[in-house]
Amino acid sequence: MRTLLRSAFPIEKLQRRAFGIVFVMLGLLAALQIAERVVLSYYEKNWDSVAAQKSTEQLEAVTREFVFVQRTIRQIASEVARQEVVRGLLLGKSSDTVRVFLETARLAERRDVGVEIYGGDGKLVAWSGRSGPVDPHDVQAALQGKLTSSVTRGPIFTHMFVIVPVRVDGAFYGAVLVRKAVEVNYPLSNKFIRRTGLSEQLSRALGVNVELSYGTDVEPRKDGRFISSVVYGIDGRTLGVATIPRLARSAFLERISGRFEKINTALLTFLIAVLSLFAYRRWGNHPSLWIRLVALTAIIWIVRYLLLWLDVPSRFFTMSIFDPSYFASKFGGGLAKSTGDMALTAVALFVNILFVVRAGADRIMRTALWRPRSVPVQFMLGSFLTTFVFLSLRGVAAVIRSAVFDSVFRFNDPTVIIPSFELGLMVFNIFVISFCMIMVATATTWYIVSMFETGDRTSRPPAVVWGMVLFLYVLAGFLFDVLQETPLVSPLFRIAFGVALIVFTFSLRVKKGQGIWPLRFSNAVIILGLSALFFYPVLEKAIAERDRERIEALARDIVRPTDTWLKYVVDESLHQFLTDNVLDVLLYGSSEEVERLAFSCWAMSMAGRQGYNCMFLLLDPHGEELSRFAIGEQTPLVGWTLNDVLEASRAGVQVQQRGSGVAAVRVYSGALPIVAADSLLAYGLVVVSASQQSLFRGEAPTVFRMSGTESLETFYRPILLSEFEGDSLLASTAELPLQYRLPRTATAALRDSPTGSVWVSERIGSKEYETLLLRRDPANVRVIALHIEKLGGQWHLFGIVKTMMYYAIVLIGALTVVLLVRRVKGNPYRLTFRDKLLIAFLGTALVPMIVIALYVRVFAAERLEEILSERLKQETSQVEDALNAASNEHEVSTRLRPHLLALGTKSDFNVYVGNTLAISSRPELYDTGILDRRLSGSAYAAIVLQGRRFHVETESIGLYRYAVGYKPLVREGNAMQSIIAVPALYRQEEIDKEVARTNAIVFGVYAVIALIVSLVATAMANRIAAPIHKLTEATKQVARGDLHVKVHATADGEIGELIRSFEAMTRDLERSREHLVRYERKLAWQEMAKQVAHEIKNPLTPMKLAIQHLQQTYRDKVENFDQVFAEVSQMIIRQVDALGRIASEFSRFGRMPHAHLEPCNVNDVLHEALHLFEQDQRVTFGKHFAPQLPDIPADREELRRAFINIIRNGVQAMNNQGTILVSTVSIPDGVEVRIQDFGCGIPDDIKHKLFQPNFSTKTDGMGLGLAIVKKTIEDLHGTIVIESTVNKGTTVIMHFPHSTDFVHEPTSDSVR
Amino acid sequence: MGFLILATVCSLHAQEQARDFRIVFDEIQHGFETGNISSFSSRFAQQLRIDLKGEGNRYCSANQAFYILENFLKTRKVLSFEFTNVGANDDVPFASGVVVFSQKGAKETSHIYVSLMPFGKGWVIAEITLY
Repeated sequence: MRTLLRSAFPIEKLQRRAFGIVFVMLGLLAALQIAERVVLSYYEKNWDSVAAQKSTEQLEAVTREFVFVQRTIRQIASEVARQEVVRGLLLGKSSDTVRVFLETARLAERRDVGVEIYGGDGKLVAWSGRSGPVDPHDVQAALQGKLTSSVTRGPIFTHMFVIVPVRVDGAFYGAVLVRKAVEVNYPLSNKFIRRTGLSEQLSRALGVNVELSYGTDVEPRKDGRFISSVVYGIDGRTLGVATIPRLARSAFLERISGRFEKINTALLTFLIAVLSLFAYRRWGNHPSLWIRLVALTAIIWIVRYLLLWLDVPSRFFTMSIFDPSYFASKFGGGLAKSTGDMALTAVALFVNILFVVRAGADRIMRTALWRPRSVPVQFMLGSFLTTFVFLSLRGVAAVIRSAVFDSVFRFNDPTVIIPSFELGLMVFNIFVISFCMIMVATATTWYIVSMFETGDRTSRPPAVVWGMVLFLYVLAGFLFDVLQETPLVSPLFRIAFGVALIVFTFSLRVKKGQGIWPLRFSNAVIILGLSALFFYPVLEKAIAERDRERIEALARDIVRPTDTWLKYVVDESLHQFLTDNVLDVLLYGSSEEVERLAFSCWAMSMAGRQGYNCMFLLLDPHGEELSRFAIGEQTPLVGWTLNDVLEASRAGVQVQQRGSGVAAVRVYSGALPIVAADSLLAYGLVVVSASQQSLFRGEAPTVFRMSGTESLETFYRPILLSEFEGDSLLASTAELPLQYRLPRTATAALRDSPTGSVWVSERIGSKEYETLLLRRDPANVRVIALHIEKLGGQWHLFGIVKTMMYYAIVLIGALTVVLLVRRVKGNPYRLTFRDKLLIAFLGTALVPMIVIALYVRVFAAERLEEILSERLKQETSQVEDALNAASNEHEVSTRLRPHLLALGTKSDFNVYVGNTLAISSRPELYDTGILDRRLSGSAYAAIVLQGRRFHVETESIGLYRYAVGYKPLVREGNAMQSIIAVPALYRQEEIDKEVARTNAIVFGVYAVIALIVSLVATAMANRIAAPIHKLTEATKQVARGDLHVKVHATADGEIGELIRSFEAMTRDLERSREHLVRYERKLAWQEMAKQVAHEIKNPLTPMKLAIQHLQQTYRDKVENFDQVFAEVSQMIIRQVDALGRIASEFSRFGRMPHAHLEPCNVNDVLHEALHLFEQDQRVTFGKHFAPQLPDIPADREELRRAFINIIRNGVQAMNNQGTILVSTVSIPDGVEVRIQDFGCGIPDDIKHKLFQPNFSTKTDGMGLGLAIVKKTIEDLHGTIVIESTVNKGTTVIMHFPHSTDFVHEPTSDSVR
Repeated sequence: MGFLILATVCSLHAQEQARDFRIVFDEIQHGFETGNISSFSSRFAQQLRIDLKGEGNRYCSANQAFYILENFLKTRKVLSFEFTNVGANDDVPFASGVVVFSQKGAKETSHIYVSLMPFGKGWVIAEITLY
C-alpha cells in the first residue's frame, strides 16, 4: 500500500517547484491585500488633497482632449488648404470648381466632416458635408490671416469648426472651414444618429460625468460639488466650460478597489494556470488509463469553473462576445452565459474529449477494455450505451435550440453571407460541440461492435454483430421517447443518426490498418459532413419555432389594446413639459430656444423613443403657437386650437376616432398647463395618432425609432399585415384583392383556439405564406393576420451549403493551427501526391469560378445601380410633372401640400433653390436637423456647374447610405428655377435587402457548384493517387524488412508497369536476403566460435599457470605448500566456475531446448520476479496489474528469467535506487506487459545493438541477457519493444499472445 | 339575485387576479432592491421585451434577460425603488415607477415600466423598460 501511495504521489519530484510557485503566488496575493489596505488607508487619510489633485488631473485631461479635437480639425483644414486645386481656384489660376467640389466631397466623406471654402471676398465657393451657422466675422478674420475656431449648436448636433486662412507667398486668398459634430444634443439613437458625443466619450474614459457647455457667455458652475474650467479655442477665445463633479470618496475608493481586484483576479488566474499545469504533468502521464482520464477531466472542468467564478476573461475584456444581449443560457450554471463563455466551454469540452480519445483510443478501438461475454449483459450494456448516444444527441439538439432561442442571431437570414464575428463564434461553438458528440458516439459504437464480436464461447460472424448493433440503435431510437419527456428530435431522426454512426464506424474499422485516429483529416471531413447533415435540420427547426415565437410576441404588440398603451405614452410624454429645462427656457430663453422646445421635449420623450406619429405643441396662454414639432403622418396632427388644448388639459388623455373603415384614425391627446410660481407660462400638448392602415399601432417609419428597437418591420423576413372583420378584408399592407376572404378552416381553427391565435398556411397569388391569425376581440369579429412568405427549397439548400461553408472555415482554421504547431515543433506536414493533385484540381476548377462569381456579383451590383438610377430618373420626372401641374406656387410650398404631392407620385422629394432647401415632403427630417438644408456640393457641381440633366449620387447620414436623384426644374424660358431631389431614403432598406438577396442567390448557386466540384476533385485525386499511395506504403514495408508485401492495386500504363517492376524487385530482394541471412548466420557462428574459444582460453591460462606453480612448489618442497595448495585450488575452482558460467550462458542462448509450455499467469510470474528485488529498500515498485488476466502458454522458469533480466537492467540503470513501474493489461490478442524505469536511458546510437548477442554496456556481462530475453519472447510468438529517452528512462513493452497458434512476424524495428 | 351572485363572483375573481399580479410587481421591486434578479427571474416570459437606458427595445429570452439584468445591476447599486403606479387596463397589468441607482459614486434616477402578460393561470413579465 505504501509503495502504491508513493508511486501515486511522488511528491519529491514536483513538490519543490510546485510549492515554490504556489507560495510565491500566495505571497503576492497576501501582499496585494496588504497593499490595497495601505493604499485605501492613505487615500482615506489624505482625502482632501487627493481629491483636489485627482479632480484637477481629470479636468486637465478634459481640456487637453478638447484641444486635441481642435488640432485634428485644424489638420484636416490645413490639408484642404494645401491642395493645389483649391489654391489654384482661390488664386484664380484655375476655374475647375467642379474638381474642387469633388475633391472636397471625397475628403468630407472620408473624414466625416463638413468642408467650406471661402474666396478672398468672403463668399462661399465650394462646400461638402454638413452645413451650420458661421459668424461672418470669423471668416473675415481668417481672410486676414487669423486662425479661428468656434462651437455652434444645431438642432441635433453641436459642431466644432476651425477656419484656416489660405496663404500664398505671404498674401491671403481665401479660407477653409472644417466642421465636425462633437456632441449629440439629445439621447437619440436611430438609423441616422448613432454618434457618441465628446462629453460621453470623455465620461467613459475618465469614469466621471463630464459636462461640456458651449458658448462664450457660459459661466463655471458655482456649486461646490463640481469643478469647472474654461475651454479655449485655437485662437484663445473662450468656447465654453468643462465641468466635472468633484471626486466622490466612495466612488474613488471603489475604483481603486476594483483595480486591485483585477490584479487579484489576474494573479489567481495565473495561479490556476500553474496549478493545472502541474496537475497535468503529474496525472497526465499516469500509467493507469482511468486515473489519467478522470484526473484530466477533473482538471479541465475545475479550471473552467474557476474561470467562471473569477469572471475571466470577460472581467478583462469588454467585448460583444461576452454580452448576454447577443446570447445567454443558464446551462451549467453559467458555462454558456455569453457567446464567448460558451466558446471557452466548447474548447474545454473539445480538449477533454481529445484527451479521452488520444489517451483511450487505442484501448477503446482495440477493444482492450473489459467486454462482457454473457449475451444478456451484452444487450443490457449495449442498450445503455445506445441510449447514452441518443442522450448526447439530445444534448447537442438542446445546445442548438438554446443557441437559437437564447440569442438574437439570425442563423439562416438569407441576406447574410458573411456572418458577424459573434454569429461566427456561435457557429464555431455548435460545430465544436457536435464534433465532440460525434467523436464520442463513434467511439461508443466501436465499443458496442467489439463487445458483440465475442459471444459466450465463439466469435460471432460480422453480419450478426452489425445486425445486433443496428437492432439496438433502432430499438433505443424508438424507445428513447419513453425516457425523455422532451426528446427534441424524432425517432426517425435518431435512427437515421444511429445508422450513419454505424456506417461511419464500419468505415473506420475497415480502415483500421491505416490508423484509427478519429482526428485524421479525412475522418474530420466526414464528421463535418455528418454534423452539417444532421444538425442543420435541428437548427432550422429551432429557427422556425423561434421565428414563430418571436412573431407571436411581436404580434402581441398589435393586438395589445393600444388605447391603454398609447394613453400611457401620451401621459408619460407630457412630463417632458414640466422639466426644469423647459421652465428655464420659457422664463429666460431666447425666441430661438423657445422655438426648439417642442423638438427637445419630443427627443427626450417616450413617444420619441418609441417612434410614434406624434406632435408636440406649446401654446402661450393666449393660444399663440410658441413651438411645434410633428413627425410621421401629418394630417391628424394639424388644426389644434387653444380650446382643444384647454379641453384636453381638463379631461386628461383622450381618444378620438376620426373617419371610418380603412381611413379611420385614432388620435390620443393630452395637454397640461405649464406653471411657474403661480404664473401660467404656456400649455403643452402631445398628440399621438394611429391609423387603421397601420392597424392602429401608431408607428412612424422605422428609421426614426431607437436603433435596436425590434418590431415587425425590422424582422429579417418581410411580414405583411392584414385586418379582417369576420372573414372580410378591412385593410392590408399586402396587395390583397378586396374580395379576398380568409379560408373557412382558418377562421374555424381560430375560433377553437384557446390562445386566441393560430398558424395556417395559405396561398396568395403565386406565393405560399405561413400566416398567424390573432383574435383582436373576444367575439372573434376582428382578426389580425400576419403573412410571412415561406422560404423556398433553394433557401434550405443555401442554408445547408452556408452551414457547411462555415464549418469548413472552422475546420480549415483548425487545420491551419495544427499545421503551424507542427511547423513550430520542427515536424512540418509534407504534402502527399494526393494532396498536391487535389490542390491542383481544386485550384484549376475553383479559381476561375470564383473570378466569374465575383464578376457576376459586380455586374449584378452595377445592374442594380443602373436600375435604381433609372427608377430615380423616372421619379424625378414624375415629381417635376407634378410640380409643374401644381397651379399655385404658394399651395405647393405649404406644409401639407408637398406631402400630398409625394403621396400622389409615391416618391418623397425636395426642392432646392440656389443651394438651400425650399420645399420638402418630409420637413421633419430637416426640422430635426437629421438632414442638411444645404444642397449637396457634388450635386450642385453636377447640375449647376456642369449643367447635367440628371445626377445620381450616394449620400450618407452617419453609417446609413442612400441614393439620391437630382434634376433641374426648368420652367419658362428654359431657365433653371430650382433643383428637384428624390432621395431613396425610406426605400434604402428594401434596396439593400434586394442587393443582399441577389448576392445570396449568386453565392448559393456558386457554393453548390463549388461543393460538387470539390467532391469530384477529391474523388478523382483519390482514384489517381490510390495506386501511388499503395506503392508508397509497400515501399515503406519493404524498408521495414517485409519483403512479402503485395501491392493490391490495379493500374494501367506507367503506374501498372511500376507496380509490376516493384513486385519483381521485392521477389529478387527476398531471394538475395535469404542468401545473405545464411551467410550472416555462418559468419555469426564463426564469430561465436572464436568468442567461445577466447572466453574459454581466458580462465584456462591462469589455471595452467596455477597448476604449474603448484607443481613447482611441490617439487621445491616449499614449507607453506599447504597454503599455496589451498590458494591455487581456490583459484582453479573460481576459473572452473567461470567456465561453467560461460558454458551455461552459451548453452541457454544456443540451446533453448524443449521449453515446457504451460498456462502461466503473467501477474504471478512478475510477482515472483519482483520478489527477488523487493528486499532492497532503495528500489520501489509501482505495480498496476490488470485483474482477471488471461493465462498465456509459456515456460514459467524461462519467462521469470526474462522478467528478472529486464528488471535487473532497470535497477542498474537507476544506480540501484528509485521507482520502477510494472503494469499488465489485457489486449485483444493476449497480454501486454510494461516495465518502466526512470534511469539513464539508452543513447540512440546503440539502440539497434541491444538485442545483438555479445553486446553489452557493462564491464562484467557477456552481452547475452537481452538477446536471450528476445529469443524467449519470440519463441512464445510474442514481441518486445524498447522505448527509451536518455536521462528520462526506458520502457520495455512486451506482448504475449493467448495462443501459440497466433502468427506474428517479429519486427526488426523493436527499439524506439 | 343571480345577477348579484355573478357580480360578486366576478368582483372577487378580479380582486384575486389583481392581488396575483401585484405579487409579481412586489417580487420585482424586492428583486431590484436587493439586486437579486433570480428572485423574480422565474416570472420572465419565454420571450420578453427589454429596454435598459436606451440600449434598444428588443426581445430576448428569459435566460438572456436574467444575465442582461444581472450585468446591468453589477455596475449599479439600487438606492431606492418604488412602483408609483400599478394598474391593469384591458387585461394588461403594468406598473411604472422610479428607481435610483448609484453608479461609480454618482446618483442616477431612472423610470421603470413593467408590463405583464397572462401565462397559464398566472402572470409573467412581458416587458421591462428603464428610461
